[in-house]
Amino acid sequence: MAKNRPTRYQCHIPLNRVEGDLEIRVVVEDGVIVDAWSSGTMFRGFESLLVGRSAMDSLVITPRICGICSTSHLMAAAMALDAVARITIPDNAVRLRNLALMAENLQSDLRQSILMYMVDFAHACYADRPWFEEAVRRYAPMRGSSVIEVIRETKKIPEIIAILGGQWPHTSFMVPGGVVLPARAAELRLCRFILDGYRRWYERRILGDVLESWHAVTDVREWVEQSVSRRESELGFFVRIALDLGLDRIGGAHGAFLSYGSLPLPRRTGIHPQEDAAQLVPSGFFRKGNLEPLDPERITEHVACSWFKEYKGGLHPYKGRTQPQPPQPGENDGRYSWAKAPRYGPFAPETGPLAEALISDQPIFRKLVGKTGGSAFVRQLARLVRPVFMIPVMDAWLIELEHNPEGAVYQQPEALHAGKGSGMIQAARGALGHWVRLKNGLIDHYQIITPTAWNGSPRDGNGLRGPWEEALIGVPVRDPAHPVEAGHVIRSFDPCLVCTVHAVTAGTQPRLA
Amino acid sequence: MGCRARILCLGNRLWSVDDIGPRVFDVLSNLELPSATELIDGGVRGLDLLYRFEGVWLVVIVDTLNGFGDHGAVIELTRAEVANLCHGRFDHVAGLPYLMHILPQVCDGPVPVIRIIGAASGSKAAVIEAIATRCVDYCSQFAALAP
Repeated sequence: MAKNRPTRYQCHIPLNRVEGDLEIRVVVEDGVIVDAWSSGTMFRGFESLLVGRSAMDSLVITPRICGICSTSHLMAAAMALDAVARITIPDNAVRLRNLALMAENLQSDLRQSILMYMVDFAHACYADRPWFEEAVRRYAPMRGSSVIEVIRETKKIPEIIAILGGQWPHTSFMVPGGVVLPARAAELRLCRFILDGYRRWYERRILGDVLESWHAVTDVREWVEQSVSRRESELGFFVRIALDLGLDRIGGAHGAFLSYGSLPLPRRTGIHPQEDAAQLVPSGFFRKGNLEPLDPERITEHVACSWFKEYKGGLHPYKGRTQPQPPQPGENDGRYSWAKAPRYGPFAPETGPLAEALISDQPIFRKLVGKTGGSAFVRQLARLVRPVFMIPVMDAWLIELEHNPEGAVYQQPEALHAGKGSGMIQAARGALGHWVRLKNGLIDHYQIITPTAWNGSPRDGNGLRGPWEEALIGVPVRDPAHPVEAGHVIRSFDPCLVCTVHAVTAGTQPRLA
Repeated sequence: MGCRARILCLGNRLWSVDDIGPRVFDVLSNLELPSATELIDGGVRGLDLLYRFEGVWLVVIVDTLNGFGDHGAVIELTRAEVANLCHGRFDHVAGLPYLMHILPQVCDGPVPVIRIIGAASGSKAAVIEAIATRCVDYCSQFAALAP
């Protein structure tokens, strides 16, 4: 720490490499973060944009919320309209929708891990660590060997979405009742070819072993050290660095985890994750070792610390309002974010791959969270290994489609005139929900809660911090000019990533964390 | 005959600061393009545009170019000139410089000839027409040179 710095001070951490703008303000005392505020600095207003439009417009507009997880928004929007129509879609439509969503998540998980997370290990502040030179060789921006390889490999997997859905990103091929077109045999074979290539690359470079080997893990450090290929893989290198830096001891949030569940199972399929399971990824609420069934009625949004027209307590998304109330110059009324504060009952759970792993009862993650209460390490680890569970299921569903090429992919719903419905899924970053109410065939009400709204929420009316605000408490900051430790914690939640090509402007200065 | 040249119009038609590409796209959509030329509305797709540089010999990028010359002028830049604006930046707003910087390392197959053409935000219709004409000229010249 710099000389003469007071023992207690406040600093702002501009966090780039996120989609949308995010500012973190922390109070540091004796070199440790003792309080934190997360501020979303941009209002978007998609929900207001939808009101008064045709019900089907949500299938085109909501995917534009994000260039990384556009398929997730399409899936949630289509499922909400399925619910309004009270329709059960055909099995092949379930498979095609799921495959598109899974392909999107496969891309996101690896890009986030290597391009957005590991890059901080190549920061000059770690020049004294024994692994630093190797980290620079792998993760240096623009030229690291792993960076280049991940960009090359991950650009291939969304081809599956383009083949099945007509385009990537921002496809609108899911509609109430199913999807707009079946997949031909040649297209399915091409999808399997792409997936197989991705699998072989993932096994060779990311995991360092065949997918099945991960199911036997009982101790992560031991598992990594059992072979050279595992040790030298991206997963192995991550584990060695993360444990050396103590990332397994920082970054735990409230110890509460939420999954809406995702990837509904076809009625006839060879995939049976658990007895009586309706979805591949189960829903639930996990806290202090206890798993409870998800009760969607307990979901509310608070605006006590958000720049929206105030209401008391929290409102369920069917009753929620999005009425912006921008801050006035010089105003200091305790509000500090354009994000609302979603809550599950009185709790502020985190969501994402770790929540999915805990709620689907993966022993290694139950053990790691039970031991440390959650951490930046275990959160990132869950994201890195999620493809282990997705890839084989994708292959199985592609084969099932090949075996039943004439199966229906669309069930005509009755006219979408009035009613309400929700689409609740797990996007790459966690729980994503769309809640819609129709009146006279038009959208009368639309509310969306994104995963980052859960993870990056501000305080609620009870003063409860959002998950990553809480996760920052107790994090040591060695150098306030380069608070990489805080970055490790925030990025373990995966607050989105670079996705735009904007105007080219001469003389632009970089804004680096 | 497959596609040899591609015109890639970038930007956001809902944001006037960044709408030169979509405006040129609209003009080009009503013109007869040279043979084997493909016109694409590239939007703001970042790394997902990488595929658009593969399998062709020429890519003409149309984008908003602020700060490179007089307002109302048609600006033209090379890939290297745009890549040099990257300054190591790879965050959410890294934009086209990041894409041009990283392209040679991640392009499957030979990197095509790239021309970046555009104008400043708010340029008048005549400038948009001039950009569209230059795009067509480039692709025509290239079609004539190609075997």
